[in-house]
Amino acid sequence: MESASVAVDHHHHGPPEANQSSRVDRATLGILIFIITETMLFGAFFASYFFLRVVANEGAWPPAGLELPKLVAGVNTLILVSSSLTVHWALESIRKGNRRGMIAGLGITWLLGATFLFIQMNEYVHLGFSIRDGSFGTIFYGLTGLHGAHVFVGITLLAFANIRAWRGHFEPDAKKHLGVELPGIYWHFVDVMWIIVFTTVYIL
Amino acid sequence: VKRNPLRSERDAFRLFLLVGAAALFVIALALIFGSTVGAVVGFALLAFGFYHVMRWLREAFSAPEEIGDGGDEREDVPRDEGASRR
Repeated sequence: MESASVAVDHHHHGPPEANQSSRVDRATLGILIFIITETMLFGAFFASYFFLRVVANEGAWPPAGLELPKLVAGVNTLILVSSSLTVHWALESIRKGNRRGMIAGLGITWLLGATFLFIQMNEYVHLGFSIRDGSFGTIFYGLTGLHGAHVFVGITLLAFANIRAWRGHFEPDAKKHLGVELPGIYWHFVDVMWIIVFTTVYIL
Repeated sequence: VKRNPLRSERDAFRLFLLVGAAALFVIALALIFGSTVGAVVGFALLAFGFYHVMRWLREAFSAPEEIGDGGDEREDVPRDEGASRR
């Protein structure tokens, strides 16, 4: 009688497990497709940037009187690049079973991301031109603002990963730390995009 | 078949390092020789990367699926293992 009730308890309820035909994990495939669509979105903004700069622009770029704070942006770039190293450290730590390393890595990554956003907002306040000041102002704020929105999404995902890490949710097994792995992949994407935005807008 | 460059965070990190190194090269060129040279080299590197991504996609989608190649968590089990035991 008891064995029968145990058998009933173990019986699977609800819809059956979805078939997985891909060799890539479903969640990883999801973030991969998401990143591909995001790359296309950034591509459209870059196309606009180069159209405005090369085709529709006559004269200097940026227009005379407008100057970008290259040094501040450079320091901000170093901050964001460092955050990719710390999120990688967090992932390597949990892969080796080092929970403290993961928590420290995730925490530092979140702080670096928040610092980047804070510095960018401070830069916006002190720039001296707005989104309405010609095509340069529009595309500058459009491109860097689009990236800033992605950083905000990234630190939100990292905040959830941090909370879950503190609550002891993650384990060394690859399938048991997807909650860190996927925000990590997204974070590297955000950093790669910033490297391209910084090089294009501030340096070239 | 080439590996998906975004299969894991480790692969994404490798890609990040690659883009970072390429950007450093472009920035150095732009500062030394001017923006135009930097932009031309930057576009050339982007085209090179795009070509490799497209080649990877073509190979990945045309190749028959193999079970148990590097990084795959499925086990490569002989199809008729049960029958051989009998």
